[in-house]
Amino acid sequence: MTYKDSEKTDRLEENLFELALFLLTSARGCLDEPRIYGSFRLMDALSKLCDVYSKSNRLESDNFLAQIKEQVDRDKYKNIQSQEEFIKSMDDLLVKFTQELKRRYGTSSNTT
Amino acid sequence: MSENEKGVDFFFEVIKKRRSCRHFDSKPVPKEILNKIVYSAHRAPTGGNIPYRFVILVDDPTQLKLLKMVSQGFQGEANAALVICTNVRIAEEGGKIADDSSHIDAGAAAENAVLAAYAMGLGASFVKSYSEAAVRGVLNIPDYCRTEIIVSLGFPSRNEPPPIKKGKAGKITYANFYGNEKK
Repeated sequence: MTYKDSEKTDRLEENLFELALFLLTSARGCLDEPRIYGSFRLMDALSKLCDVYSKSNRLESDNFLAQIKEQVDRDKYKNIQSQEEFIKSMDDLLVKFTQELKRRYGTSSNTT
Repeated sequence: MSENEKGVDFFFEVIKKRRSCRHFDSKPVPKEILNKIVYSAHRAPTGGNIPYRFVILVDDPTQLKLLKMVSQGFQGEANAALVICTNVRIAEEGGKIADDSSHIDAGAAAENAVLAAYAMGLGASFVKSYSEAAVRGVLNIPDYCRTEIIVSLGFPSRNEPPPIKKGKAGKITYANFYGNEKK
């Protein structure tokens, strides 16, 4: 059975395989490409990973990641135009992720 | 305005409006348009008129999907791609200069293809970030040939914004001598 012949509507394995290959080609490419492209490829990989959730029936949909994907797709090309804006967007995403991390692990209200 | 003047205006309009397209419509590109793009690529020169350049038009959906999967720089859902290659064996017969020129000539073919695409309402983009080993594997390219560049092709789904001009590192046009500012 190949992916081409598969009649499955859920393409979880196929999408994960594609993501794995994207990571490998990106890893190889990072040796030859401009430094900033490393961040760009990882942002692209993040977008593809978020896509895996939305395209699968077997994974629970994740609204947070769906929102993150929107921002990633909107801002990922900023690296070409303005490195500062690109970095700002990544920092903004990190703040959102940190808030979500704390919410998911139940530490939102902890104070030190 | 004469037909010739209209032609010149259109030519410069295409040059001015060309952008790297990263957002494509799912509408398939008719074969006739793809054939014209291939023709345009072949019309670009090669050093010494040595026939070391060849192209592979990829428009089969599965082949295109595989090509995208091994090309991390391939952005958007383009409907076709033109892979511009050099037959190194033939290029080497022309000596070092022919081998060096093959890179430039691939770029010339790619630019011809992109301008032809824009003239016919398509979007296109150069793709240089890909795994050489994997692209060769996917397209069955023999080891005596080299991939030079990929051009993604498709109908654009939106107007790409003009690029924000980056600060120039220095003058880019001089008159007659290096350092002589063009008036």
